[in-house]
Amino acid sequence: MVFIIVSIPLYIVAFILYAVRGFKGPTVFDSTISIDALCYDVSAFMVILSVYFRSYLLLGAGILLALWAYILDVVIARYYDRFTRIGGDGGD
Amino acid sequence: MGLGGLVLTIIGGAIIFIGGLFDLVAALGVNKFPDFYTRLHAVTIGAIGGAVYPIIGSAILVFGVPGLSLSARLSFALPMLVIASLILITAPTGSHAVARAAYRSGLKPYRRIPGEVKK
Amino acid sequence: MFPVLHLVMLAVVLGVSFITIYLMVQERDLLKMIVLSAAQSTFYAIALYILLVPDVVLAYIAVAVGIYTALLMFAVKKTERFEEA
Repeated sequence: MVFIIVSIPLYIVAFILYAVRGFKGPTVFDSTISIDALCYDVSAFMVILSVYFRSYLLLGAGILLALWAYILDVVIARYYDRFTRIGGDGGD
Repeated sequence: MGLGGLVLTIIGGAIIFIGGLFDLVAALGVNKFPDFYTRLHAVTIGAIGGAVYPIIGSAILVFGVPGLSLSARLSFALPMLVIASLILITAPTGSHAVARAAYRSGLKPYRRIPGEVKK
Repeated sequence: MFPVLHLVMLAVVLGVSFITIYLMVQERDLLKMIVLSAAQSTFYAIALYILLVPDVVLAYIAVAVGIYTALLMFAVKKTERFEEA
C-alpha cells in the first residue's frame, strides 16, 4: 500500500502534463495522440486504484476505457483518410 | 504470507513506481519535443511503459497483499492480464493509424535551420 | 470516513475538467472540440471512479468517449469544419 500511495502523485502530475499538450497542440493530431495516451494511463491508474480499494468489481472500467480510446484514434484517422484530399491542408 | 508475500509486495510496488516514472518522463517529452513525429515517440513510451508495466506489476502485487483468499487474488490477476494484453495490441495500432493520416494529409516534419536560435 | 488523499485527487481532477470545459466552449475548430470533449469525459471518469460508482463509469465512458465522438465526427463531415468568427 505504501508503494501505491507514493506513486499516485506521479500519475496525477503526468495527467496534467498530458492535458496541457492536449489543450495547446498546434494540430489536431497532437491533441489526439496526447489524449489517447492520457486514456491508456487513466486505465492503468484505475487498475492500481482497484488494488488500493481492494475490490475486483472495479476492474471493468479499465477494460472499457482502453477499448474506447482506440475508437477515438480510429475516428480521427478515418476523418482524415476519407474526407480530405491527399497532401491537402497539412493538418492545420 | 511471510517472506514470500513481502518479496512479491516489494517487486510489484517497485514496478508500479517505475511505471509512474516512465509516465512522468513521457509527459515531459510530449511537452518539450518540437514536432508531431517526435512527440509520437514519447507518447508510445507513455502508453507501453506507463500503462502495461504498472498493470503487470499490480498483478504481481495482488499476490503479496495479506488478507485475501486465493480465488479473490485470481479474480484480480486474470482481468489485469487481459487489460495489459489489450493495451499492448491497441496502442501501437492507434498510433500508427494517426501517424499515417498525418503523413497522408501533408504534415511537414520539423527541420532545424542552421543558425536558428533554439526556442 | 473519507480520506484527505481522495479529496485532493477529486479537487485536482475536477479543476482540470473545468478548465477543459472553458477551452472547449471558446474553441473555433470543431474537430479539436471533439478531442477536448473526450479529454473532459476522461477526467470526469476518474472523479466518478474515486466516488466508487463503477456502474455509472461503465455507461459514461461508452457514451462520452466513443459514441459521442463518432456521432459528432459525422455531423462535422456534413457541415464546415471551421466556425465563422
